[in-house]
Amino acid sequence: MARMKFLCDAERCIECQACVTACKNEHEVPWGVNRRRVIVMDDGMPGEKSVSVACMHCTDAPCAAVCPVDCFYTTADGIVLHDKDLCIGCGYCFYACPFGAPQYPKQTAFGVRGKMDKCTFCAGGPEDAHSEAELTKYGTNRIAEGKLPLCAEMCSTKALLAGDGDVVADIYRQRVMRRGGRPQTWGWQAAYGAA
Amino acid sequence: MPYKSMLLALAVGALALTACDSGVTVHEPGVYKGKKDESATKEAADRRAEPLRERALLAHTDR
Repeated sequence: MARMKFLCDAERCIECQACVTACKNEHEVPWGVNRRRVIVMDDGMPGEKSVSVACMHCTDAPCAAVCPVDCFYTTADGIVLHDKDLCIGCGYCFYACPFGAPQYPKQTAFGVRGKMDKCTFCAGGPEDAHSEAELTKYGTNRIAEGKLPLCAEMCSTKALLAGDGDVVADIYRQRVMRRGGRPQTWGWQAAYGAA
Repeated sequence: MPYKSMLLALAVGALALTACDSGVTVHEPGVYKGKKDESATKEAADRRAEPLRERALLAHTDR
């Protein structure tokens, strides 16, 4: 059984933010909500690295574990989705998520949160595929059309990979072998310098 | 006498209520409560697995 995963190749990401823009445009994400963000490490320093981050569709998702109304579910191929009709906008999932994936539209003054919004791996939600309700609440459903998330498909440097974890890992492993070494964002050399 | 019969009726009533169905679950923690998603099933995932695999190889492989 496939398990859908994202992987961002930090050696290739050029912080163009095209994945962020593509996601917002494809799903008509409201202002103030970013389902995907590009995080820059050591900004302006030699060896600066960028990583595109969204919901990582965790196998044992902490957002689902803390949800008081149990609005999360995981598809058979590992995509973590939620039902906005059940969500009460409590914010527990935001605090539980290590990636800051859950986002809330600001609906009124005084910080009142709307229904939680997050990356759906372009798989929509529990509404009927391609229905108006699904489009309005969750965005487009590319997975039902046999397409991968748009952020990954349109990445100009092919830094952002999406799909079955086995395929993604295989593509990344081949890249690393071709480069002749593992990326040094982390690891012995990054931590202790070249010996 | 009416007091004793009232007590007896209350005791019988209380005992009868204990026989009510205890199989009712008000809340099952950790179980999804929302609408059923047909595309979340194993069959649906199996159907789209191969096209998505081919798509990933096509989209992510260097040209």
